[in-house]
Amino acid sequence: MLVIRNLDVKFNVNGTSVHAVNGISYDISPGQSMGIVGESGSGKSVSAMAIMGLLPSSAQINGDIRFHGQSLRSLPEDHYRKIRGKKIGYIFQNPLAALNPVFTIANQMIETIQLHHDLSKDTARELAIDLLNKVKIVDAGRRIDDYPHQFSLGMCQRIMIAMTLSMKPELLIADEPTASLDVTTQKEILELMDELKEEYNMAMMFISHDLAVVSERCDTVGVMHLGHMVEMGTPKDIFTSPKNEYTKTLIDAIPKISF
Amino acid sequence: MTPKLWFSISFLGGLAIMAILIPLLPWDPNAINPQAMPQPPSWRHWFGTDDLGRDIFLRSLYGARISLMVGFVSVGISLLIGVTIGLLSGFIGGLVDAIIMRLLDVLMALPTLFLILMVQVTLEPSIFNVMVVIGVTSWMGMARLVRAEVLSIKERAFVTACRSRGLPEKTVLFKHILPHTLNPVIVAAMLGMGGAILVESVLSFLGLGVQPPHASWGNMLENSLGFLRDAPWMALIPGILITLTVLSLNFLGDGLWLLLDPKAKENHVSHS
Repeated sequence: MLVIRNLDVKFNVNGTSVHAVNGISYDISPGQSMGIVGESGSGKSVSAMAIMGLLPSSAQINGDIRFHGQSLRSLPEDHYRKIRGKKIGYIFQNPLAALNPVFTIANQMIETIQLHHDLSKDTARELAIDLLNKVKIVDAGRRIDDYPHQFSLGMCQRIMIAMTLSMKPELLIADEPTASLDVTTQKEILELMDELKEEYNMAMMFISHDLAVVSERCDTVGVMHLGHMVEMGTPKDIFTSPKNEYTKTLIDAIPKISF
Repeated sequence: MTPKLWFSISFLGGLAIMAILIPLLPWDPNAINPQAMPQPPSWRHWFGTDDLGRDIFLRSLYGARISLMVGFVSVGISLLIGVTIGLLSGFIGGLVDAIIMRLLDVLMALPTLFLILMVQVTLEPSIFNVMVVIGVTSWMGMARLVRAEVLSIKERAFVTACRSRGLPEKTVLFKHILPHTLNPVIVAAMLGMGGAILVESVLSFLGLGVQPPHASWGNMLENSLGFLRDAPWMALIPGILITLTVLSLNFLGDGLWLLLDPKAKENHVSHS
């Protein structure tokens, strides 16, 4: 479904070129989940943003990004827009920052639903409430008219997930979806995402700095370091026989409880 | 709500209501009364009469209509141009932004008042021209303000999130970014209105704005020049009205800034 070949992203910063992503390749098939692990600045998010076509114009992109055989990079902007959200959903690291603070949840969800489906405002609102119920927002019918700041971070992430699901994407890119949440909320959100992934039969690209979280739920895991994909394989292979030094460091970094 | 804000809102509100309602009354502001050439303020003529025996209270309110209209319309025009150009310049960025900004630098260096005078001398002086010319020459500050806001807002995560949901660029800009730029714009609009009212007064004073016999604060002042010794109220009343109106608008701008910007409030409290 998604084929990435030799993806290369450079940024021009004040005349010097910064190599953010250095020739990475991977595939994601329908219903499959791919995890990408790496430290901040390793190029995880940049490569995901390149798939969405949302990198700033200062980025020089090379390589092939194909979605269902179609090259996304040569796609005109208005065709690309129909893929964003509708075919490929994106969940952000900080859900509160990803919602516009001056509009209610209802406003933003209905806008998104109406953009991709030909529905009346009332029907779109009902659909939005259904989705909020699905992501377990209590009293969704009333709370839909609240503003983002009236929700906790975990609830905001649920709302973002509901908004993304409203478009029924084939591929969901989750860019550190739980990095800004506390551990118990993190667990709830991850469980919710696992459930919904099954229900909607989505493929998923799960970006995280936590190798354990990724290994639990992904079919393939790629380890990125300084713009390179240093290792890729099944979680089991990576855990049992890591070949790269950086991967070994990552495995060592998983906290172990000892008394 | 500070006392300053209360004062400005009640003064401007009262003035606006009276100015709107005054044409409903049967009195003619241009009616000459030879028996009352210039009379000091009295119960019959609250603000006195001028050299032709015209009631200054009535003329002041008709003048207020002009001043407030000039304020609203010219600021409306400059908002429309300034906000649009600022939004586009900041949003598109890059070369377009650089070119627009250099053009603004040039426009801001033009001596606006002389430009307005020139236009008014060349064209027929009319209140419509005054409003258009003030509007068209005063949007540059607004554009810069909006552009600066857009530059910071467009980097925020929710803008990327909007795009990631497939929203078209014009929705992202006009629905999602625009509201975030409005606080400073509202404040600047209030200050701009004060400025526009001053410019209109200057033009009318120079005989290039509202033409006699129609009243405006500026031409009432001009008219009073020959009578400063005998009838000082003829100059004082429009002068005080101009000052109070512009002052109220500035207070209002300040007060709204404090109300709208939480950071401003923090600073304000720590200073006082």
